[in-house]
Amino acid sequence: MGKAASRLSLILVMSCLIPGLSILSAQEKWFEVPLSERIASYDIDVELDAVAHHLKATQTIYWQNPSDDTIRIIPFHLYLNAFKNTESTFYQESYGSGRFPDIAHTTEADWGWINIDKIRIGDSEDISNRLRYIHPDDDNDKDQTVIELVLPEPILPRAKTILKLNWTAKIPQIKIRTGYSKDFYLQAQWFPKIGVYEPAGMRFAKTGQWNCHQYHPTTEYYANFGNYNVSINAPANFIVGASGTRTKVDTQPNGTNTHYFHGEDIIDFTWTASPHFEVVKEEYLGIKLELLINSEYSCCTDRYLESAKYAIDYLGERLMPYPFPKLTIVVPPLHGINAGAMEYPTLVTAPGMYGFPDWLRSPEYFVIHEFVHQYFMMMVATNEFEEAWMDEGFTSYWKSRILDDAYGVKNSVIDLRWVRMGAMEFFRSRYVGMDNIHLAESTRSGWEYPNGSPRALFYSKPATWLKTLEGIVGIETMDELMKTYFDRWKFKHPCRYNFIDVVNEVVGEDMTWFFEYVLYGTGTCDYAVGSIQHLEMATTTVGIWKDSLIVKKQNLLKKYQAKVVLERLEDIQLPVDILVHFSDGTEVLEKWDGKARTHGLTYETDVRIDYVEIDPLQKIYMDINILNNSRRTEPDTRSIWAYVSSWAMRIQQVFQGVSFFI
Amino acid sequence: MKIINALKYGFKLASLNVKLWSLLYLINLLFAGLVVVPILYYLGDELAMTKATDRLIGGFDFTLFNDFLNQNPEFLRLLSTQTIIVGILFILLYIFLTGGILTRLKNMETDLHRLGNFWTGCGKYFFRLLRLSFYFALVYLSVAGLFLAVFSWSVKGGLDYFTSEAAIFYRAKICLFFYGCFALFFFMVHDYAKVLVISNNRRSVFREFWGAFKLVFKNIGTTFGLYLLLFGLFVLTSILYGMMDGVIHRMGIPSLGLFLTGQVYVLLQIGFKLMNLGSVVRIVNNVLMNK
Repeated sequence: MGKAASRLSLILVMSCLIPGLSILSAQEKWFEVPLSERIASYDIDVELDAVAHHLKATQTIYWQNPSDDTIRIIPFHLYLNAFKNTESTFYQESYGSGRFPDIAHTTEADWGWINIDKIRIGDSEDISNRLRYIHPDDDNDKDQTVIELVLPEPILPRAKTILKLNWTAKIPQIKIRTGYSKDFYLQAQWFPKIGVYEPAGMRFAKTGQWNCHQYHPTTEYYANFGNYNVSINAPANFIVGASGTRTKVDTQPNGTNTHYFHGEDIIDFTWTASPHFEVVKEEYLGIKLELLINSEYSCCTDRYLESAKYAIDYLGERLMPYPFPKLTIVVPPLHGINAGAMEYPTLVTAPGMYGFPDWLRSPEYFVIHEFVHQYFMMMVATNEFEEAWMDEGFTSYWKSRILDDAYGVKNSVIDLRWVRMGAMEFFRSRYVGMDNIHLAESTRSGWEYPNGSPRALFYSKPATWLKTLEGIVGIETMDELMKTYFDRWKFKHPCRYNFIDVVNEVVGEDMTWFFEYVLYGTGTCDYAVGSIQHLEMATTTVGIWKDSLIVKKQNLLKKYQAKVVLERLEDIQLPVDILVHFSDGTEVLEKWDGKARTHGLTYETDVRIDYVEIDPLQKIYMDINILNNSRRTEPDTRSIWAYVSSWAMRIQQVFQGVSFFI
Repeated sequence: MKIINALKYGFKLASLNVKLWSLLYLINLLFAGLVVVPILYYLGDELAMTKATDRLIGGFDFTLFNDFLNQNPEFLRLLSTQTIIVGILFILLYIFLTGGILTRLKNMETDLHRLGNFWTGCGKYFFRLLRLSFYFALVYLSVAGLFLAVFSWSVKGGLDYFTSEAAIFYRAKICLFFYGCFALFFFMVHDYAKVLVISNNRRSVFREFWGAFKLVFKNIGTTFGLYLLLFGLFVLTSILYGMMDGVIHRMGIPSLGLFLTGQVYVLLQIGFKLMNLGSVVRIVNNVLMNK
């Protein structure tokens, strides 16, 4: 009791002396009232050695036990160790992906590592001897991406503690997301980051537990919110950008500059440095927009910035105005493109390429996608490791809405005269075009899918079924449920149950059946018009009426009995609309609950049916085949002829062009 | 003046050969039809009963094509195979026709209206022109290989060596420009060699191959100037057509309007082809007469 208790008391006293912990160390205040619980905050001073590609840092972590449990261990992510050797889980799961060069061709530059040299609690002695690598996700005891500190003294319920670390790291060449390429640096997942302690009742936790996964190629995010004060010392000719706002820059006598950054209520911190960046600054709705871009891509400057502004407006109106005071857009050079298309708090990376054509909206596509991540996962901080669909799926859905709204539903991604493609169309095509569309349910952890992680299950499938949900409940209800979900869970850590609860609440009925199909199931949805038959009804009636008197009646008009057979070809049962169009122009809109394998419609009418169309407004966006959703009674190839005639003309022109040179 | 005279002569020959013009147009149309009609029947079989094809009224529809290809994964393979076969047949036919075209253009002054000469020329010179095309194809490939090698050497190391891909693009543009100039030169020499094959009527095409080079180099100003002028006209009409096509497309004029404009463009290009060959015939005749 004695010695241990006195140390514990010291920690508690220190904690009490530091109310708000990280706020005290803040150099610039973003929010008067914290937006999150700020469980884990960080002060980091890091030096970049741009010759040896090394980092040297001192780091202070302010952590509060969020539970009524007594904490005896603390795990940390050490994700740079994913690049340490071929025995890391990251490497092994990447095998064959082309991320790493052949073993025979690797050089020291390819690899990276991080090592905690010292760790102390408060002002205690170094206790790095109490660190041990763990591998909670697999049997790979060689993986060093998670390390656990066995505390000399437990941390009591709700208590705060301060951990002080000294660490060094070797930066790998960029394989994916993080590293360096020539003199371009993108430092993501670069510092020891504490895991998330989930008290009983939080997400799936039945009892209090740490959630700290190894680094996998497919997933990387789950962290507590907190404040960050980071100073980055880099050569003076380097332009440095980072999460958070720059508070000051100090010029050092040794030819380096120290850049100070501050961020609040964010879950991570990333920075970039390059001597070749051009900095473009704008202010929009009180948000400082900063574009770090190499000069060869400067023709796309407006495309990056304007698309960001459009997304800021769109989500600001529908979910919440972007709360952070800054957004940095980093355009990595092509040689560092593997650091592109990533999202970090208040900083996104969007790939660039020299001479990007206007018709390919790649800059807009990536800026908007990564910006939406600021909402889904940076604010509604889901666990990407375990439920990747909750951030990538939501992001893909909202990104498609924004792009299609801004540039057109049929040409928001590719906008050539003869070939065009909208964003939502693109995601649907990725989903319905999966090699094995029944591969697995979407609820597995990222690394648990057979033969690698099918991105379509995280991105395309959820985007497609969210669009379907929008079709079922209507756009207004969809917006309302999204806003409710966002408002309720922003700056918290929800799981799928929380989203389903919000859907049920806002829609006003139990929609669990829908999620059974789209989340937990592997089935697909395909409705088809099986057949349309017309039976000409007898024009003459013969029989006995009125006491055996034989009467013949001649009908003046033809009458038809029209029979329509609708089919459900796959497993998923969704309510669908059916449009029946008659040859006199009249239309009947029918409803079908979509449950039976077949469904018949019968009409007695003077005119024939022209065509029948299931889901004419394409509300059931996840129907995997739109070709069989409708059927005509007579073949009609006019639109095919009209379209193919334009092909004929192009082919003529190609032939004639070739003949000029023969 | 030589260039203008040759061009005028080429224009005159082209304008006097309406039948030839029509024949070439019909062949062009026929071969485009050979590619397209099977596609039409294929699409008709698969899609005639679905209302989804209405989505094509506004032009290309990605979702429709995506689902169609998902249901008919063999379609693209069939389409590409068929296009390649028809394309090769078209090239062979054009080589065949070139003998007739040049025979007719050469004999225009004495034999203005006899089409019989045309078919005789087609048959007589086919294999010689085929051989000549083969040799020139080797030349084009060699030149392309040479420039590819120069480009590869200039960007050795790729992004490991260059700070930015802009430098690589810059080198690619330079190489492409010079390759374009060289290729254009050899295309022109090819035209003169074809005319020499017909004019000299010798079995060995090698002599005409080298003869064309000699002729072109001796008259480089006239020959290359004329070719550049014609090629410029070809490019200019293509640009004008592209702009007009874009305007028609944006104005939402029905596809018949686009189709008819396209036909006018094709007819114009056939005219340029005939003008080009007519001008070359004139220059070759002048050179041979002055020997």
